Amino acid sequence: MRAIADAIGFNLVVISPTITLVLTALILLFFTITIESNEKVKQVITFSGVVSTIFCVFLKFGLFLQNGVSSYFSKKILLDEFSLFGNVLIGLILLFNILPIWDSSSQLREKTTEAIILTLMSTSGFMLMVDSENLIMLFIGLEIGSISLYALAGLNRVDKLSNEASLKYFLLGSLASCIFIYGVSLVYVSFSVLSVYDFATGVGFVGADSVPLTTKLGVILIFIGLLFKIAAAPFQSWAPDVYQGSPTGYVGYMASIAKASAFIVIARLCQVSLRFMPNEFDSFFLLVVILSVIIGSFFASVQDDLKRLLAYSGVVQSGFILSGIVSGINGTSASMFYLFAYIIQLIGIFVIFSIINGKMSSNFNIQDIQGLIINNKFLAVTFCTFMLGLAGIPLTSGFVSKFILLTNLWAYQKYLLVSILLLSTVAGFYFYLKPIWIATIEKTETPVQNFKIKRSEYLLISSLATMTIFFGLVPSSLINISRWVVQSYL
Amino acid sequence: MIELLLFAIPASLLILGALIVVFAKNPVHNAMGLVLTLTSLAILYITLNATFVAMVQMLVYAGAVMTLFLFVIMMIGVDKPEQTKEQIKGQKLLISGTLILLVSIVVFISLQNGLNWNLLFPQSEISLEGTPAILASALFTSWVFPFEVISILLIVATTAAIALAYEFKQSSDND
Repeated sequence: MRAIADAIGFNLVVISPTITLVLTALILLFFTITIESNEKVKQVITFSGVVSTIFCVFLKFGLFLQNGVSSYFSKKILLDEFSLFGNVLIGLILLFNILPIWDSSSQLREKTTEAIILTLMSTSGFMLMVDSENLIMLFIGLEIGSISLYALAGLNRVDKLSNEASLKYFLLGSLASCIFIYGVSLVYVSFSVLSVYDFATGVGFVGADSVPLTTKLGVILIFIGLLFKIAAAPFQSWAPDVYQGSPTGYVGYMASIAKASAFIVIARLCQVSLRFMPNEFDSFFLLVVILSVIIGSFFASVQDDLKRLLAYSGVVQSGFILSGIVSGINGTSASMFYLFAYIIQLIGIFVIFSIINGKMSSNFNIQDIQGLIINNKFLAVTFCTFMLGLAGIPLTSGFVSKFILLTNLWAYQKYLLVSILLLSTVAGFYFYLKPIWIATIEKTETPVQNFKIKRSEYLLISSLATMTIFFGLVPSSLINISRWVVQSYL
Repeated sequence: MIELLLFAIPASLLILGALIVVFAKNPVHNAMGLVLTLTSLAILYITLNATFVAMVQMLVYAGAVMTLFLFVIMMIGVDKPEQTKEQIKGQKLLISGTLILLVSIVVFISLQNGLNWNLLFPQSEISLEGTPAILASALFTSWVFPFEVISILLIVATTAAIALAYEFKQSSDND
């Protein structure tokens, strides 16, 4: 037994965050179907599960210090800087989002625990996804995460928009999964590899010129499946409807976790698998980046619904992050910084939305925040902070991330791309500052009433806003982290 | 010649089944066409020496998935009164004749072989690819982790289905 376990690289520490999350979810599931327990017990179980997950991520750091970059379960699970960064990021996303998710779920009464279980399970799936070395493993992780998200989008059964969002997300997401797995099969058939490192070794062995066309097509299909998850144009059509229809309390989680894990996987594929064929897919990615930026900016400027606006702004931000990842190592480092800063702002803004608009609501008209500053000083100030951060105004992390990214792209001599991204930043000022104008400066007869904010929500929002400002003033700590992520590929 | 026949008959049945799936008007006939397609495909797998895949094909697709399809079709409701009538002339005669023929062939062959059931496929000594032994050794060593993780996927799918589909009584009165 011992010999077999050693031979396949059996290691519980490397999958301990996943195990903890799944165990927590299973205990909750057990409690729902057997013992009648009150809310408090489940709350304690959930929060202790989340905290011990983050503890397990730190255990993985210990394993990394001991073993370095290493793979487990016979090349299925990988422990490298990308996976550690992804684990920390996903753990933080869960920690920041568990509060709004709990509050939203408690409005569902009997379905409360199911929603929490789905959340924990999807986090475990995305953790497996960023850990995976094998493409099949990646697919399983992606599916565990995505299927939970499809259900979370439709939890509000009485709302037609929520049903529509869930169905749309499910159908288009399944299509993307099909495309992804077709790409994997094409790569396997024509190149006989499934592992990301073996792919690089294979390309290095045969030379980039003699890689078959089928393999290249497969790689492009794999990327299309992943680009769907990050809602980059022209695969963005699901995002606005899903963001608008889903219960507001869940949208921050759904948007941030899918984007974070998919971006980390794309970064690893680009930097590890494609390192010996660096400029092969440049035109494809350039097309995606430019389309994302243009389509996102254009449609975001004409939206009346704040959640749709955020969805299209997410398309633009995806274009920005992708442009760094596909350009090279330094660009990837800048993109990791950008990703972290963007995720923080995204979560913060959706927490505020869920307070203003109600946890289970769908539509959120831009006029609903008229005169927010009159009765809700705290909400208005933090809302402006996050919006300015997304727009990239100095003193926020958004400015630093855009600055680092664009200087890196400039150093790669991609002048056309830099000018297009700069133009879209300028266009972004319009649609990011419009809600701020409506919320603070515009005169109104009927300002929105005072919202009750819990103490925990005060803590959450203010810490997220503080992080946005902090990484804008003292970015060096996060820059060092993002340099560390890519250090072994320099 | 035999090889050609072993390919041609299941292949033509497969195409026929696929055409029935596409063109038949009655949903039950469509489902039965799909059964024909899947069964012929299983026969093709057997001729390719992939016995395990053939068994899985029969059990999972022709068995479980088709039953689900038929369940759904029946639940939506196709049992209109005019469809309970016999539409093909001489159907009973045909079915009973086929059954009698089949039983007599089986009895004849078994009597011929002295009640020994090791009939047409003699046990092969060499293990080939696609047999359960090789699959199991791959599945339970190098692929054991993805194999176990798929169970999480099933739990997630079940929980999601319950959370979406189950209508609680109290959640409807707040609307």
